[in-house]
Amino acid sequence: MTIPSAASQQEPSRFAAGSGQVPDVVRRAQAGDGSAFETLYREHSPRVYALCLRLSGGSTVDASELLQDVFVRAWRGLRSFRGESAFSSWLHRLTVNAMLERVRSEKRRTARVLFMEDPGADLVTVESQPDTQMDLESAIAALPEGARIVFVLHEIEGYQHAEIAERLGVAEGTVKAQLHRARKLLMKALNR
Amino acid sequence: MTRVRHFLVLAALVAVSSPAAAQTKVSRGLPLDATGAVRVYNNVGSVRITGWSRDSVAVRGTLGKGNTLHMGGGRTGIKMFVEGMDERNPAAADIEVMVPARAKVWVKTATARIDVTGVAGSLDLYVVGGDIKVTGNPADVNAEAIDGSITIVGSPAWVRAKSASGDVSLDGSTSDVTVSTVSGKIDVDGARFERAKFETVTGSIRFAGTFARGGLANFDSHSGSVEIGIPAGSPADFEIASIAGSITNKLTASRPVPGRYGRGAELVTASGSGGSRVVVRSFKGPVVLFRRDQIVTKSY
Amino acid sequence: MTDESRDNEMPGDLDQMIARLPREIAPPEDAWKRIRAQIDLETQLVTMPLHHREREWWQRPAFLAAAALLLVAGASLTTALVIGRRMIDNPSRSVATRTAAPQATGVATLAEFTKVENDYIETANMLYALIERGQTELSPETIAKLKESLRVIDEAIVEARRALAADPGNKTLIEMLSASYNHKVELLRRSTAMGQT
Repeated sequence: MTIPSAASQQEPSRFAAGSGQVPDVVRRAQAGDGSAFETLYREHSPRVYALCLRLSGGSTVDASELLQDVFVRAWRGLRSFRGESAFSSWLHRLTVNAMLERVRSEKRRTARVLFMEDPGADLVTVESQPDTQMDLESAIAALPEGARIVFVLHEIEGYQHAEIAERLGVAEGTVKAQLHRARKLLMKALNR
Repeated sequence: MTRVRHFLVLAALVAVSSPAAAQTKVSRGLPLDATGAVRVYNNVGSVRITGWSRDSVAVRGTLGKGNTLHMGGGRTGIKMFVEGMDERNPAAADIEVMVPARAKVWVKTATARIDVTGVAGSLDLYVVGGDIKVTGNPADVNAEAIDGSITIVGSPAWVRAKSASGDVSLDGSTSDVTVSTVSGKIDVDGARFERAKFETVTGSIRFAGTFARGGLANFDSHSGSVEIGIPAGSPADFEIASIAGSITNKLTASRPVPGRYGRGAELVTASGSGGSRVVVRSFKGPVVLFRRDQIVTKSY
Repeated sequence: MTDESRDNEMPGDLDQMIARLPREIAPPEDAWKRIRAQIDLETQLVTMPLHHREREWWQRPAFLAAAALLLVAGASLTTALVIGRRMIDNPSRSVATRTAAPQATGVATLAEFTKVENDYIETANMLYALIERGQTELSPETIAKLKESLRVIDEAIVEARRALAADPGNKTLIEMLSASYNHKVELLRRSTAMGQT
């Protein structure tokens, strides 16, 4: 199965305001319907996981834990969703909040090379052609944590500066500085 | 299945084999960026990691009979592992690896000892039964052992040290540290902490150091003793609770009071000067606060 | 030109590279199973009266037998024999590294802790099974030392649990008990991860 790239997709509903009505599948999940919640998981988890993975610096271990955390929180707090925003937006906020709590509660190391996360990783996968997408993912993962989070939220997920500042509890100027730093580091990494 | 794959471009795979009947000296090198990553596997023997100022990795040492050293990688990452001919009874290999001082280093062994000196990057060190010793000021250290001991002499900014039956000792200053054992002793000396957690089940905890103003320290023990020594007059606010054990305060004039239902003891002290918060919980191990008159600040 | 639009003027190729990044990435295949297991557990425990949970824990024959065996045989049977917990039949190599200890931060009451306690037990069961089935590469000597450490932790759990049963409102005891469970799961996780090459 091919996962479509961003360019080939419609911009997802993160910016879509809710209709004020709760979709039927969400309402059933709110009533305790496990299979309805699974449907929500199947529909939204790839998007959430992509965000988890990039926020976690490419660590599949951390991203999987974060994904689990997000959907368990979603289950617990499902009744608080009232349709004011799109469900995907609501999940998105949960994901960012969950990640920020982790950052605040346990100071994580700064950027690691991807393969350092999994001791069991195989020695090599040789790519016969330059894969700029891979390089960019790696370069993003290697960004310092603060710059990475800001970059992912702004450049990939489409948050505005003010939104990011509010979410992170920092000044908007700090967000812009981190973004600038991220761009410089990425350009340097990709041009080597 | 994630699409984001781990990758390592293999520039050259170098293998050095030791004949079945003899030991073999080894000496190899590869270029590596200053902040590149190095991964080392060696089950038995020793691994010594030394930081140096060159942008390259050099390996030298002795392979036991039947061992093969595999080594490969590119400028961003290098991996090496010692493969034994007889996996059930591998021969020892003693290797020394020189790495760029700011490299990120990852080492895993079974019983091989790990020694790290002069690395300023990140350290991830895993042993089952071997011992770990880190000397210097790495940016951060994550050290895990089952039966082995962990010794850190220096001032990493961030430390996570976990062993089960091995002892853990820190001699230096770390702003963020967590140490955990089951029955191993925890010994902390001459250090200054902002955020610290020391926990054991039956091992003893001995702390002699200082806490940064506004910091937070947690000491948890089930039956092991907890001894905390800080300089007299240090701004530290203690909250101590022991379910069934004793509390002895030789630091200040405050006296512990009986715990709930007359069992155990509790002690709360307030320095009144915005000091660090020190929380101690013990099920039945004795807790002792004492005065550490002189803290020697060491530079590494 | 606004700040936002100026920020959006990325160097051309980087902008295109970002646009080509996938917005969706398929999560690990067993992720839903783990999420569902945790949700199922919470749902069951939330709907069960507290006193029933207490009685069930202490009156389960498997637990009582295991507690006795624990103190005599020195093996970590307490958690391995707790009944009714699903085990993953074919754990992947990386299950140990992906198994995080349940979080009990901020747990204030016995009722809240009981929900987390079963998470701990299930997780510990899963990891211990890997070791017992020989699905790690730990040597017999290491496994013996590991079991000794687990025995030490289990004794602490039994003592703390006994004290908590007599004083269920004691928040400090709840935290201590949670810490002991966390210790156990962390040790098992580290051991199984180290035993995978």
